[in-house]
Amino acid sequence: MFHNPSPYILFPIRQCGRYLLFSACLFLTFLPSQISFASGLRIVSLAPSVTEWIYALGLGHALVGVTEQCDFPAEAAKVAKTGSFMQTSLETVLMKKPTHVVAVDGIPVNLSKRLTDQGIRVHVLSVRRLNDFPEQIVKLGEELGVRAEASGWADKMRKAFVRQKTPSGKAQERGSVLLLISPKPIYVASPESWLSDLFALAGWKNALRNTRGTAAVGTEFQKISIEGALASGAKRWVLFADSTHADKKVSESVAQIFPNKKIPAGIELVVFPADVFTRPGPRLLSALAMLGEENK
Amino acid sequence: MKSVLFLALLLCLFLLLSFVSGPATPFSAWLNVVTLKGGLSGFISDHSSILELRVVHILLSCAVGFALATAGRTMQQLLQNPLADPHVTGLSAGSTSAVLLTLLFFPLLAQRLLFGWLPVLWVSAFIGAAGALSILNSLLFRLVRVWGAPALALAGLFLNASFSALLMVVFARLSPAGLTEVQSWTLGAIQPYGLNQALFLLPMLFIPSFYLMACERQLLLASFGQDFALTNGVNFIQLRGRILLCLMFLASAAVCAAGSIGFVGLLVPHLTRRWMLRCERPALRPIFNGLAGSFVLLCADLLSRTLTQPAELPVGVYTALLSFPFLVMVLLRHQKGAA
Amino acid sequence: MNKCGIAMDDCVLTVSSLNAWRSGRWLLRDISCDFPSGSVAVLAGRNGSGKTTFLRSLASLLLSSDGWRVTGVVRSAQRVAYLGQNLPLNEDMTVSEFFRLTSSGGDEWIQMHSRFAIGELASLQLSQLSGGQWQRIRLAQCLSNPAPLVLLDEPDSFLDRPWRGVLLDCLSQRAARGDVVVVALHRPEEAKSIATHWLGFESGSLMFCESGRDVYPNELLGRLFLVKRLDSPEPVD
Repeated sequence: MFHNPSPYILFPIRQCGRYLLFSACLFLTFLPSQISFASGLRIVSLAPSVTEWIYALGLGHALVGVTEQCDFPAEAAKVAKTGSFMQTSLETVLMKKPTHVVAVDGIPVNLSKRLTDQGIRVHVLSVRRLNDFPEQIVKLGEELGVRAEASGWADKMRKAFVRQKTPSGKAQERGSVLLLISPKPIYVASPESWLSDLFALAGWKNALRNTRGTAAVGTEFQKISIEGALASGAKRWVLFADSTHADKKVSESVAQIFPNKKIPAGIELVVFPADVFTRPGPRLLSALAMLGEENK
Repeated sequence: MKSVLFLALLLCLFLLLSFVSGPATPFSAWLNVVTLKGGLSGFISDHSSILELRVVHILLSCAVGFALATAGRTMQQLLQNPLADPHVTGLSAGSTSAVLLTLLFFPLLAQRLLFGWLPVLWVSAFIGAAGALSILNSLLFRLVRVWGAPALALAGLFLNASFSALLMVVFARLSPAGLTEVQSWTLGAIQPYGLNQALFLLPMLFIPSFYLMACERQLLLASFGQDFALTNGVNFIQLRGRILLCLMFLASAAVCAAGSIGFVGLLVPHLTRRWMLRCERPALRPIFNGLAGSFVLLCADLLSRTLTQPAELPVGVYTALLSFPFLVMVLLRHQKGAA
Repeated sequence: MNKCGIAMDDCVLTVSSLNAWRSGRWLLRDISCDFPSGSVAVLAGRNGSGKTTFLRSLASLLLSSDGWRVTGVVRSAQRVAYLGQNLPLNEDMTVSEFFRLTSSGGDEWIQMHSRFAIGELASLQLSQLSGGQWQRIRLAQCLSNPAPLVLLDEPDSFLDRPWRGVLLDCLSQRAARGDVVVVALHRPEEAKSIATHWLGFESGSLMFCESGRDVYPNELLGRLFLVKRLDSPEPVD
């Protein structure tokens, strides 16, 4: 049949247009899944937040390797492990024959070079401030061939990342807050981090003053002394803890850092789930919603 | 002779064990190969990248172990100090710092330079080693001459601490995310190189080692002191210069291949010493020492790749762990020798 | 002609206005002397008077890279047999390995081997040796070197009396062969029978240089050591 050029001539031109339209619709409907299956996309994620993003972009089925810390969504736990967050086993990664490896900032240079030399595309998700997210997700989406999904997320985030307003229409101002990542030693989110930006949207200002020349420059999380924490003057201390911890136990652990093992009277301790807040993943939006609800 | 053969056999056994074990090739996969079920060519084409990775990894760990043990033994003989070793004296630390600073300030070179990347790393490692050695030579060896053997460890401690503090300050200020990289180099992890890069590194590790082995007789004479060496026809100053240059080559190549791995250079010569006394041929001693270094690092590497699967801890962690029982052994033997 | 009364050309070892300086002080000042072939020069002086520095300078061991500044002229043989003090022990070796490493063999070596009775020590490790045994081994190693200039720094320390006798015998044998022997002795008075030159050092300077057999500078040595009866077989030390 293909030897014969006649079918092109015999095909009525109007019917052809209709047929094309129909097939394009069909194609677009199954586009994301088709591309990933057709191109044999195989992704290894080297960080829990990256895993969450890949599931959010609808590429969960293409994930062939995750870290031991990847526990969200629940299916991620079933994917094969290629190492822990910072200690990746190159051999296990190669064993999965990935087409793409997605990591966060800090992937060792030699590791990324070796992967690239093997013909594997290495993509680094690099976010410092909240406003980096939409752009970075679009880049990730382009890299993985799911541009539409990614720009959808980017739009969603841009819409969500606006300063919350009071009922009277003014920008929310709620006071200063100290964001405790870990109580002992005291690690806090620095003012120049996406986590502080997130709280700023809900009207909470990071109590730490960011002075250039301290270790805070460019550091998302910084270690401070108890004296520095008290001197910040924050009335509200936010602790990020595993949601499984009972509140009482958590507040006890925070009390341990004070000299007399008691939380001073003027300080209010609030606990938020650590995995939702401290991972730069798609659940930032639910974190933002949680903050909004808490404000009401 | 018998012992060298025995050790070589043991090493081969461990090479094989190291080659077949790993997460990507479970026992059943090898069983299939041996019984010709799956077909050998299919297996090889399936696992080619993994097998290449593993061969390079094993070769590098053997070469680095060999080089470190030889360097440690040579330094102990040259300085007449039982504590001397590239890691203790801060030579590796200087090299590692230079490599990390290159990685920090020229990260794009890694992508741009396909084949020149490793030489760039090596040059910076060499500069770092030379810097550390010149500090040691100008200031600290003088200290050692006054205070004796323990001063070398003090001097090394000082250098190591200064270099790691420098790294911490620079990286915390400029690239906090890079601290993972700092950790992997300073603890000593075998770097994931390809075959081409290994072909560059292996001669860099073996040629200076062989040269140091060839200097064995002169080094033995030098181990009785400068005057003795000079009056027995050894040009001590020249010998020292050549050996220090070799040590710089060795330390920088070892650091390029695996960061700064401790304890191999320090302990292996002490471990092999007892055996060496029984060895009839002095020429075999450095070979035995080098092979023992390879063996120790290979064991540590095997542990690092299999014990915490799938995570892979730096091999330096395991050399530190392994060194403890060996240290106890050496101490007990000294006690027995004294009694 | 010089003060020893021998023509320059006959001298195997000539030293003229030798100075050595290190870390802010002079360890040798303006030393001049000559030794004809067959002489046995005995150095005397208190601790730190410059004997060891003098011997090391003769063996050209004072390197500028160690901070030494040496001026003056030393004319001596190319090859030197030198025995220093405080040799650090490389404990990994056995005695026979030590000799295999250092000696080229030959008649000298066989002779020394028997004179110092090395055979009984051959299988021992260096770390197992006593001070005297180690000293015998070093002496045998040093004296089996057939160099025309023999420099020995306190070869008699750790040795008991019979071995000291053997040592002096060997030295006189070397001198009889025409070699020059320069030796700093712990007990200089024992060398009365073989010494041809007596050199007295005090704080880096040469106090006296007496030559001639059977000339024993009792008085001069007494001045150096502040010891009254030097004739006694065992000195007070």
